[in-house]
Amino acid sequence: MLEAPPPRHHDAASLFRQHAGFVANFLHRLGVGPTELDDLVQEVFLVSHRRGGFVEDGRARPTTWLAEISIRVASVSRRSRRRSREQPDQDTVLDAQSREIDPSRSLENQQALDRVQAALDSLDPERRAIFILFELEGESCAAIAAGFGIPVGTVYSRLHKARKQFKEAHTRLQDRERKPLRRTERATVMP
Amino acid sequence: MTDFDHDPPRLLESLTAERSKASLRHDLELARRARVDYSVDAGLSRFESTLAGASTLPAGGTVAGFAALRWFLGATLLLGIGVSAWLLSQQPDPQARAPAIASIGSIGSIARADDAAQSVRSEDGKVAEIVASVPRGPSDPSSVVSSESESSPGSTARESVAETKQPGGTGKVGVVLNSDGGEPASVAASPRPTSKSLPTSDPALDEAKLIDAARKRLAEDPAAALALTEQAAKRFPKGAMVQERRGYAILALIALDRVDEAEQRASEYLERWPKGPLSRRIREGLSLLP
Repeated sequence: MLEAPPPRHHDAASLFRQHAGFVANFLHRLGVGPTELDDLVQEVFLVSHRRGGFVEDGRARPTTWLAEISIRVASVSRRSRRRSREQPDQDTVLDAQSREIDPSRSLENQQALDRVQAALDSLDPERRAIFILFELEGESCAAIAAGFGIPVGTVYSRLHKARKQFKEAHTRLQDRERKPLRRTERATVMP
Repeated sequence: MTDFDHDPPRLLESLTAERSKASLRHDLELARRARVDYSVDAGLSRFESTLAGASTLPAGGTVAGFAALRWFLGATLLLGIGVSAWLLSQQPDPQARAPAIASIGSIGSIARADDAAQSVRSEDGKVAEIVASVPRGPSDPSSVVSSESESSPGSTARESVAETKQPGGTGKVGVVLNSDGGEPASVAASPRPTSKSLPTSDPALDEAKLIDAARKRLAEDPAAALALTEQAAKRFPKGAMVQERRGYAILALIALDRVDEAEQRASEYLERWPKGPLSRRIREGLSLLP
């Protein structure tokens, strides 16, 4: 086992420089829309600043630590809007389809990303965050556990359930996409 | 530290063996590579300008602030010991020495069983606790929550809401955090330190804690968040975090569907801080109100 490196302090500005992209991406995958993305990124780093920055002691990573703050910030934003009936919970598929489309991406790729996002949206927030960090961001379960302040066994358990739900949701979405296609095909074939 | 080797294989790795899951693998690979467009430079510029603004920073909330606070307390401690030693040398009567001995003992965590010193010890015991817990310990019994509670959603940090009656004051709702699993009530019920020779509270830090507590409550209990902002307004009418306090109060009003009040306060807020960190959220919230 490697020796733990000495604790290292990261102030909020250096965290921003290095990890703002990660935070923006993470928030986006948590379901934050483009209109409020920048505000919430700012808020995540303001919180990190108020906490006095991050001390890297070999357990949590800056990314998992920031992810934990991001979950809270996104949750506050989402619940505030829901409470005030500003933006009722939309169907996850519609929500995913309404996201910004990058013209440089092919339609097929965009559909694939929408499928993933819709499947992610079907998970509850805790499982979704762990799935994103482990499967898409490549974080270790131990770093996630340290960042979130939960036992690593809980991370395994949530990850296991998240994977199951994600796969099921993905399959369901694919089936849903295929069905209308078949009807369309039939309609074009029939006179 | 948990062994990383115990992590299960990533879904992408395990899917390579399953041909039937080609679509899922394809989608996940794309998602893993995809990155949302975000201009770090522009964001950093905005962030730094926000930090530079006077309203955003609690002086005691930064590492530099905490370090300065430690230096100040250390200097005060040394000064206190010096003064006490001088008092001892000036007072030959042992009964008269008792308060000074108790004062030294409490600061240095040395227990003294002198009856004459009891009242002093009870106050200075609180001071010693503050010294030991800087920067996280709540220095004011009626104040609220350290930022520690944010750091771990599932950790042992506990929040409790306690209603405390201050002598000569009204009952205040205070959220007391206990990050080490101790008894939160003991902190909340402790008498307010009255010693004027030692610093027991950093108003900026207390204000930051109150605002932070309001922000955290916003999601689950906007009414409590609003109450905390009002408490902050009473305790720190000219505090450094006026902008945050008013902003979170407006967001709480929006969440509570108190449309008229929210609109009225938002009008003043947006006029004063049209480009504040919470301004856009407030505008969006207002625009979607029924």
